[in-house]
Amino acid sequence: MKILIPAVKVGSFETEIHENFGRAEFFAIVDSENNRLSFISNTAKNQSSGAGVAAAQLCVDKEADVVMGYHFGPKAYQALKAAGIKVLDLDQQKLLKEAYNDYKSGELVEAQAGPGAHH
Amino acid sequence: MAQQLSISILSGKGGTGKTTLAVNLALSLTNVQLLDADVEEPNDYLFISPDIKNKEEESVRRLIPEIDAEKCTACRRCVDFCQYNALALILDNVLVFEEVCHSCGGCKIVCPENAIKEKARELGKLRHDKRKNLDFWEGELNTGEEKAVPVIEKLKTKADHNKNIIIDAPPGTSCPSIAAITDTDFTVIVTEATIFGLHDLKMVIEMLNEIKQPFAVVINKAESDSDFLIEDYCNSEGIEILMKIPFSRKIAELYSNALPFVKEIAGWENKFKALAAKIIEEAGKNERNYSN
Repeated sequence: MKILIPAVKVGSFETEIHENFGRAEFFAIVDSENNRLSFISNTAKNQSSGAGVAAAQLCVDKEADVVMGYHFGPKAYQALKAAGIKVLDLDQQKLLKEAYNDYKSGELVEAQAGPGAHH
Repeated sequence: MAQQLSISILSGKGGTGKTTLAVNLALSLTNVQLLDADVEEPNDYLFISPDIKNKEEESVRRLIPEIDAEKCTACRRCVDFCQYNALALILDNVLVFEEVCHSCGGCKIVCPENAIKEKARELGKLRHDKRKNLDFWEGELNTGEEKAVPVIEKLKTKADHNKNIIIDAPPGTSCPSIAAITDTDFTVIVTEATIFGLHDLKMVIEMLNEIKQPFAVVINKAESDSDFLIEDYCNSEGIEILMKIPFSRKIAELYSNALPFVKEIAGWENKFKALAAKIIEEAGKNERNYSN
């Protein structure tokens, strides 16, 4: 499984999760087959509008199976679901390793679409 | 008839008194048109035309793309073209996020397969009521829509330049506010004499200076022990304060009953007429500046 998690910087499993999906600085990519971690820049983060949709497009293009985050706007959520990606909700987790460990132990629940950003 | 004056009423945030000023000023003048362009929350009608929902209505539509899945080859050119991320390519299907679309039509032009057509989507409504001495229009954005500007632009096509025009603009400094005040002769900023009021007033002034729009200030909920907050700032910047509407229980009670206080409290009609005269004078100064 290929898992994408918003991240504040390029780092390690000790790196903090970014609070935002569409405007996250980076995405951490975890391959659950071999626990390997890599990072990509979030090209959507500086878009003047539709950052959530563009970030979802990036996840789709990177062939994510699972995306997790604290909050998903309605359009990003719709795009991710349309691609058949599993969208999981984070809550207390702060570090990438916490999110990944909770994922492996099956503790994460499916996210709901929340309100989008206000313009 | 000679072209009359157009005045926009603006504030840095909601709830400062734009409606109060716009409505009472409009009701003090003759040969006047009031356009409520605060399309996310138009409420001038409460004072002017409470049953406006039963009056003449006009739909505001714009064009958004519709993808013909048969013709689409998922080449992605439309998705890459869209600067607003209104399109996404998901599993070889183009998804359209209609609320984000700016109706530029570019996706249709770049599509090599002629797979994109445009369809109309309603994003708001205009309503009209012709009252004695007052021609009233309002724009309202439909619930869930994000783009206020097309509704405001359509509303402004109703401007009758044989009348004095008052536009109640959306609060703030972003595109909808700018769309509402653009091409008006003069802007009156309503502010409260509070630290928050001053903060938001400064933001609005920065924006107005940026677009070179002439303006002056009216203080609402004015109180003798706090007006200095606004007065000191305006004095130091050379900004005219045209009027103060006092912080008064009577005015608040009338407002809560949708009664324009200009019609209820003696003396205010003349004060608003004097305000209009001052606005004309200020706008005139600006005209001279332009010709120099």
